[in-house]
Amino acid sequence: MPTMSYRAPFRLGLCAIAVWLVACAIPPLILGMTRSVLFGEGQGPPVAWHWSQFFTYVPTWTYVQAVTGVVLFVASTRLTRFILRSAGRERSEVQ
Amino acid sequence: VTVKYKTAFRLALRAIGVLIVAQALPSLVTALVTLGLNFNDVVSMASTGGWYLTMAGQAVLTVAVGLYLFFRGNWIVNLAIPSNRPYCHECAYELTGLAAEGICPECGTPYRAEGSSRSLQGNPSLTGGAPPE
Repeated sequence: MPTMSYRAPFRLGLCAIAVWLVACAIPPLILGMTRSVLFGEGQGPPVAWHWSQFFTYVPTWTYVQAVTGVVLFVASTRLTRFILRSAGRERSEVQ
Repeated sequence: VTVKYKTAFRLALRAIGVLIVAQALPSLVTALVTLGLNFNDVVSMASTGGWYLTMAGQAVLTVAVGLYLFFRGNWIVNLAIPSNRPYCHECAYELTGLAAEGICPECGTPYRAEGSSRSLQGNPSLTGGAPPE
């Protein structure tokens, strides 16, 4: 009988980390994008809205965090396979 | 008692929800107390008042996300472990495309279904774990 498999818990752990990354990025994204649409640059004379204003109120890191979370969630299966294989713990540890 | 992977992941999402709410509560309380104490002066607080309003808004959104993960995380759970596919009850390896009966290629556990995909979908031991509580 198998005693343990690393794949499922490892993959679901990656998914949980991905959810945490995205969940933490959502509030500043919503708030910052709303403010950029409402207030534009925030200073100086009003100018025509431009997509670059999304970066006025939202740090670039927040976008990177959200995209990283989504990619991690979607690619969790392949990433798990790659990591466990490179660590030599796929199937060989299963008795 | 074996905790199935789907239930375990659901519990992990709830724990993340608690963590997120707990992280946001200090900011929320601080912002609301400050705005409450200086309610009449919010306009005159100028940039400071706006900063606390932003802080409160972000904290409210964060708490909402945390509560969603705690109470309504099933959509995410089903994304991670879809219920309409057969899974090994031992290691949650997806058995789509494999024979209805055999040995899990991941962990070696024998799995058995009754020959049709419908029976696979209806068997909680092959669909990733225990039914929702």
